Amino acid sequence: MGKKKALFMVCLLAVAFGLTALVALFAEKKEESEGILCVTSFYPVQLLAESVAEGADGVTVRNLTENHSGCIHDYTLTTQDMRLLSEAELFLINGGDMELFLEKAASEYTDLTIVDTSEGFVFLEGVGHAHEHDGEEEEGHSEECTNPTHHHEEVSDAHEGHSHVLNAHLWMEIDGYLLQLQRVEEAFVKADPAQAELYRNNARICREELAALKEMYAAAKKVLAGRETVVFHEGFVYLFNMLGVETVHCLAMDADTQIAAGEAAEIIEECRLHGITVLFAEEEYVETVTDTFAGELGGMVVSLDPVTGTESSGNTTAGDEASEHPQAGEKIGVAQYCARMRRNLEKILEVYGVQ
Amino acid sequence: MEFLSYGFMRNALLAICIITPLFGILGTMIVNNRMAFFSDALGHSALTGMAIGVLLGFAGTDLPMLLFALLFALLLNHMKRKSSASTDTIISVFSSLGTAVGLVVLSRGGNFSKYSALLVGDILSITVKEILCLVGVLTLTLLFWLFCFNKLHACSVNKSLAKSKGIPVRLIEDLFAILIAIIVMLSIKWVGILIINALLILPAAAAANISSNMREYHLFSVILSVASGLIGLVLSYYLNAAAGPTIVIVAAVFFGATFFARPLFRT
Repeated sequence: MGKKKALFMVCLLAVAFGLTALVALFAEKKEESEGILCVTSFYPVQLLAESVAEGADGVTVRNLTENHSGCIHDYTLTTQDMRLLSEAELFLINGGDMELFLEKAASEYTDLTIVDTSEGFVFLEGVGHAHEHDGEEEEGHSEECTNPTHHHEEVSDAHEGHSHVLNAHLWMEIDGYLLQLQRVEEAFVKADPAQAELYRNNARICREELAALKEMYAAAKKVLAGRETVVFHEGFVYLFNMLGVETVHCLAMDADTQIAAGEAAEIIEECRLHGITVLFAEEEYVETVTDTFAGELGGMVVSLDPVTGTESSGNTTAGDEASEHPQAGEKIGVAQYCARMRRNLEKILEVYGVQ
Repeated sequence: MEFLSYGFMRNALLAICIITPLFGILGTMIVNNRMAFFSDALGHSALTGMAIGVLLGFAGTDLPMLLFALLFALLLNHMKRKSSASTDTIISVFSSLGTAVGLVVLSRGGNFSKYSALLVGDILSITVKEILCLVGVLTLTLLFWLFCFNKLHACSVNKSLAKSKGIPVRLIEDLFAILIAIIVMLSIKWVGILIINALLILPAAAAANISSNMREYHLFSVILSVASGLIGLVLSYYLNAAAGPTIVIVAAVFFGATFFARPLFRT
């Protein structure tokens, strides 16, 4: 090897490693925090944790997927996430196979208490399962979309072979969210018994807010029950279940989803058969769904909010009142969930022409 | 050195120290034998391997991915030999088919997001057991390199000449294809389908820019591959970026530097 080449390689590597050292030097230093660091897996759980731990001394709540809008089925952990988990004492997850990215990572954190906030919840089956039964009668679809046929643990066991998919969006059902609230409360009380009274009191306030919201949905159920619809987000199946509206078909839309021609035809046929002209989708997929279905059906596509992220991260619905938007740095909590679920209800009532 | 206080970073660093020399050595052989597109097609076939695993109800998808890749690699080699179409065309057909079949099966019912992590990989979740597995593959590659490199090189220069010298051309080519398949499938979860080929090719291509003999070529390739891996991993930690793509960017910068430095070494 010539001296010239050796010198070039040494210089190249020295510059590269030197620049890396500079980046490391000026980069953020390790956070040394005292007290309890509670990490939540994503937005709906974060709202609960923020509310329950409000006013607690030495408790910090951080959300793992802060910059991620929508559900987190396809989320990949970044180095910063891994650091955060390494420093945390309490990790609150949604469960129901929502946090697939945890499958392997969890075993690495032996000191971390991981709390599944959906433990004990009876999940609906996800749409992935429904489509393994080609040729079934159309009534079969509605059963698969809306019937709670499996307990969490049973399906998790069967899930190893990937033959079952859970509909993990339990926060869209107020009873599901109440159960998650209870699990979050228990987790904080266990982790920090000294402030148990505060956590219980905060949880009680949240429970009251959710109970008021539940009453609104129960009242709406009286006028909406018996209707049928088609939705493009699994969470909406839970929401319409509360209103007694039957979901005859659910297609889970995400960034990777392309509506297959056969499925589009099936949805159109089902809509015609059931006389459905109003479809519900998440704001960012309204255009796609409208392009595919609205023309064919002569109907409309309405956006609903799945409450999977802050309203600035893609879940904003037109006509929202500015006063209900949390500003940067402002405390967030169950109140935001209730406001957004109320707006969902108002939209549904409006679109069905019910006051 | 703050990053070494985390177990996941220590594991990732160990894995990088094994994967990158492995890719550095393998990359030189792949570039020599003009098989860059071949390894890319193999990476894409991972989707179909995974889909077969899901359809057959395998608990894990590693085994079906590996078995399918071996079959895919040998079939591709066979088609290359038998078909009158150009190698590029054959590989392109296999690559497209491998991707399409995988996408059709895995995206049923809008569930592709469950598998999309395979596209970018996740080196941070590697475990000690998997690192040991990579050590085994590194040993296998070194053995192949020691005993078969000259024969493989002879095949890449002139197959007829290699045959006349008594080299079993077909066997060597098939063994090499099997080795690529094993390495690609075992490391694809950590580096991802979209960038695995870049990691295989970039260090070797950068080394080729400034090398004038085989010894330099291999040495530079391994050095640049390891340096890209280490720098990329550390930068991804401090910049909070995905590790695999950061490593590829560093490797691409090295390629650029050697490309523009080429005139300096012309004799």
